[in-house]
Amino acid sequence: MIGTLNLPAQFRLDLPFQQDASGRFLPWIIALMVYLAAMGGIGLIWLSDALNQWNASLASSLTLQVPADVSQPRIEMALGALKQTKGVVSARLLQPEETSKLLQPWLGNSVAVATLPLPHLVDIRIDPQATIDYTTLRQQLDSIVPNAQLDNNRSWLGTVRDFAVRIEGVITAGVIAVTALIVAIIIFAARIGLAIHRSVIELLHLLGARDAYIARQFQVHALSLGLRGGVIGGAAAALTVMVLGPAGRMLELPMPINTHGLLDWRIWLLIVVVGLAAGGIAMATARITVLRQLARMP
Amino acid sequence: MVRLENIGKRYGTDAEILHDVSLKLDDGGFYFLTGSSGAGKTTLLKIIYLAERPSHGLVTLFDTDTSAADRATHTALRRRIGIVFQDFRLVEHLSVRDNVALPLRIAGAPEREIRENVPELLGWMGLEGKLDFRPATLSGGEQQRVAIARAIVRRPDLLIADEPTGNVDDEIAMLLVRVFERINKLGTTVLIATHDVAFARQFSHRRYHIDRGVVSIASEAADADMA
Repeated sequence: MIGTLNLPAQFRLDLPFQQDASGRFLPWIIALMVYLAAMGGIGLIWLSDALNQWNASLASSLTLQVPADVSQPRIEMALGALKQTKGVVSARLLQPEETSKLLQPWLGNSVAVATLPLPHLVDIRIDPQATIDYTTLRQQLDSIVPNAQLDNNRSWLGTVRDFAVRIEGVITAGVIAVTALIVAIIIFAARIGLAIHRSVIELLHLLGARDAYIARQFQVHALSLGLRGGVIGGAAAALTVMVLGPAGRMLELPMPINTHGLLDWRIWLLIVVVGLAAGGIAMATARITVLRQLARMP
Repeated sequence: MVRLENIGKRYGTDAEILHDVSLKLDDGGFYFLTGSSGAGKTTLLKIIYLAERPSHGLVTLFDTDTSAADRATHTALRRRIGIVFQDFRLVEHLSVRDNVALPLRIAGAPEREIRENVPELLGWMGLEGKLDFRPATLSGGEQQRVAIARAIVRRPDLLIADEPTGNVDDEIAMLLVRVFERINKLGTTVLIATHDVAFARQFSHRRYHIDRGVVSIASEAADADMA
């Protein structure tokens, strides 16, 4: 004997989907797809944040490299010239220990940095809104300190931007591939479902069911599978972000993953949207597939 | 109500199963379709309840030429027909209550109406204690009554029963025909297919007989020949 469940008519299933093997493995496959799509999206957010951070810091700074053998008075003259330049907010000569710290990731602690003929570095802060004539400034500095190099970081930032655009392209292609895979899996599952339940579908037709009535059964089932996959995949993505936060801090990763983590509302929004989208895509795919197949039946 | 004109049916290149079948079922009539196993009864019924299309000929249901009708019209016509299948075709994972409610839900009937009417009908069929049972747990006779309840729950204009008396003893078979007669009195046209000519002869209803795909109006003489 079985109890009755008073579900709303649009969610009531006449077809025995719970007996299908697809109901057991599909949510996990969709979960994996959702996880990959969510992590791809989160990666895009982090990459965009990192670019913006770098852009903001580099747009307001310049670096002047002065050869190691240049005398202190000439350096002072160069600093004076910089401070008088319109748009320059400050110019400060980095101390040897600061330069050493910058080189530490490459040279380590064991090397006696002080003994190396390192160039002097001048950290220049500029007003990002100001227009600086770099050609004139370079000529002026060259007349004071020959062979000094004024680096406005733009070529480096351009390279990073180009690289980031490529990474964004790869991630976007990955998300599109994942979406296509969900569509393909649902089409496959819907066709198998139609074959498995053919006798009940024929019965429903003979009892006067419209194609839309039968398609709705598959839609509801696909929505349920998609949402289950969405919840599992979304939870896994949230867990990953949670773990990556402390890990990022521990490894001192130069990305914003160690700053916001799950406190970033955009991450939550993305996970929810991707999870719901999985359900929506699964539902729409099932509906279209089933309606097309049913139209071929007598 | 139902008019078949020169219906023929063959599957692929096989021999024709039905040959130039013509018959007419009037509104409110009660008919038997007799014929031995393999004579073409089920194929003929399938054509009437729109599960099959004839290879040639004209099928008119409720004044609608079905060959010219679109998919939506076929669905509308099917909703006016109740079918008791030979093998019952109950949905195994649904309860007795939900099996009988199926035609109502398909037609979009309100749940309140389903909650009231389905138990009442099942009570009338003597299944009041079996509402939440699954078909597999019922006896053959009980499953048959569920199938009949599902066929009549929407008060169809035409009720078709394929061998409803095939698997029951004479007493139950007689009771079933009495049930169909009560439904017929409410205005439903009834067509019962049976291989048992002698059983059908016990009633005064009009009989069609099918033999090797050819349908004729049965007569006492024909029955005698059959015997």
